[in-house]
Amino acid sequence: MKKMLLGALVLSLAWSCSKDDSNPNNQVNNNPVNFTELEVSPTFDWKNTSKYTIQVEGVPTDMTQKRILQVLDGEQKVLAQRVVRLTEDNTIEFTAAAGLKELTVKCGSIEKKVDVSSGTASFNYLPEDDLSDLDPADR
Amino acid sequence: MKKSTYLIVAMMMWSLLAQAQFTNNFESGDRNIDAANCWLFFGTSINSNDAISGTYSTRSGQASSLTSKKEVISPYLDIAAGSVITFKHKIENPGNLSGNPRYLDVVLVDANGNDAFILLNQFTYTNGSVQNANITVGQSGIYRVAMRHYGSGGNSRGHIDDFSITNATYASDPSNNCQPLVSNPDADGDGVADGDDAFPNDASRAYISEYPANGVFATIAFEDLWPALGDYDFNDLVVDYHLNYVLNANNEVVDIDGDYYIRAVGGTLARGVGIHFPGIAASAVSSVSGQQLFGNVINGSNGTEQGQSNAVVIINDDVEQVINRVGGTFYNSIKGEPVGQSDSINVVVTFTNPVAIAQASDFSVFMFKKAGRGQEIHLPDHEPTDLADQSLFGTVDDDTQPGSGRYYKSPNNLPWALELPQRFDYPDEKRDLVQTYLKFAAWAQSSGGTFTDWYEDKADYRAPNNLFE
Repeated sequence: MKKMLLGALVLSLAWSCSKDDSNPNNQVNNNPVNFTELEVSPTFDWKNTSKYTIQVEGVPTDMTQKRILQVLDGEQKVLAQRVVRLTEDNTIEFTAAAGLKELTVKCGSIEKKVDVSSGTASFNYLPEDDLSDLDPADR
Repeated sequence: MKKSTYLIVAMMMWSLLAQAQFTNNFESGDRNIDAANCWLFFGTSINSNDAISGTYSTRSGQASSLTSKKEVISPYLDIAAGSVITFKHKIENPGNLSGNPRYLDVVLVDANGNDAFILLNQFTYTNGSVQNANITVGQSGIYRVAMRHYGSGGNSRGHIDDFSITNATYASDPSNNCQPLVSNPDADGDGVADGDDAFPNDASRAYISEYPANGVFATIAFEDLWPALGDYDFNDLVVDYHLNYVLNANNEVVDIDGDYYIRAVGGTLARGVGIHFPGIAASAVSSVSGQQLFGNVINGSNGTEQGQSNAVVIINDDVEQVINRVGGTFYNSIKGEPVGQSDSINVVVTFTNPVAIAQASDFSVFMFKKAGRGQEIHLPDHEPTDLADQSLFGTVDDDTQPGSGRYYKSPNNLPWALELPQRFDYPDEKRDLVQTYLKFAAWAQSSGGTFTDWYEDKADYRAPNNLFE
């Protein structure tokens, strides 16, 4: 019985001390103390900026004048501007700080926050419509 | 041109104006789409229930109140006297119209949103059949046309369809809260109104888009020992820069107006700074102005560097000439030593023909060393210029492999330069970046997946004593 218990203990210790090679995090020095100890992917580009794309969907309006469309970050800093017509679809590409999750798109009085996913966001000129003026059954 | 020709042209123009017609059959099927064109709906939707014609009509809620009217209101229109408004309308489920009456008003609404003229007063429905409104407008001016269903009791609803008005043109501005469209002058005729045009008298330029953001400078920070690894304090050469992209009305870049400022020289090897546009041919540049050059590079007649296939603009070829040392060992990299103010450098690159934003946005600011013009240091995986000494690739600690697009990385994938999208508070001399920015290692080792804001001044992000400032 003692031998069995001892064997189980040894197996248990061996299991607990073994390296979990299936978890890549275990193979990285998570606390490098200087730059040369960093372990980074060969494909890492070291960029602190990202390219963002906003797909702008035009609307069928009779107003054909050109307007300036602005893209702003959460601190209301203008990241990009373009000339647009509200009737036209546009693809707006720009570079800004990496990691932005939300942007504000503004064209005159039309202003919306848009969510960013994988560097891409969508925007249209449609007004927000909460349908609150309609009878509940008609919403 | 003969007088008769003028007369014919004038008559044709008048004829066109006279035929101007504004219509809406509500076949968008979505009131929000029409609202984007400045139609207003109060208690009324667009749907296919019992449509008058086509698939959709407007359909009010139960018009059972004399005061809370259900409205469909056109955008502001520039209406000529004698215009004719037509539309179809009806009452759905009329029921007992004598006991539960239903009415329709048509009103012109002025630019202040007030009722100005009643065109149809309390049209009274007697049955549920489709009615054809035909109203001649005696007034001229900028008005909305409001059509209002209302009544008393019951549950019947009002429908409107196939709205049309002759001799009227659209005069709303969806980008200005649907207020009346202001006739904006456009002095240079580029299609961008003077109020929006940063260059109202220059048809080739319309506005400015800034990098990295309005009023914000980016920083590029170098280690200058390449191809050998350095001490990674990233202050051997620190350059702040801000680019104004000057664009035309077609969103093409005409000029790049850049401000550059050499903030620190924490080493002895840096000679100069340039900007490389790998997607733009050198010949596509018509001129460059403002460079601070002191004979260490050779430019072509257009201001780009000679011998380059792509546009390379040397901003400054001798950093010593634009920094102003005030004592101390290095320049602005050792805490406690006197701080110098450098000369600001403004360089304007003008293109022969406007270029796409994507091309102009693909650039890298690089440095070159005193040891030779060919000893360039770029951001990782940014290709060198044609004048780079490629014999240094793969030597010492460099693991550049041009064939696979790998540039300026060590065998362990470490860089010699970093770019920040804001002004970078670089480390004090010999202070390792990892020990200065406490989230940097996590950012780097996650391939940028975590702590993308590692460089910001947030709690527990920095070791302040390790910063130069």
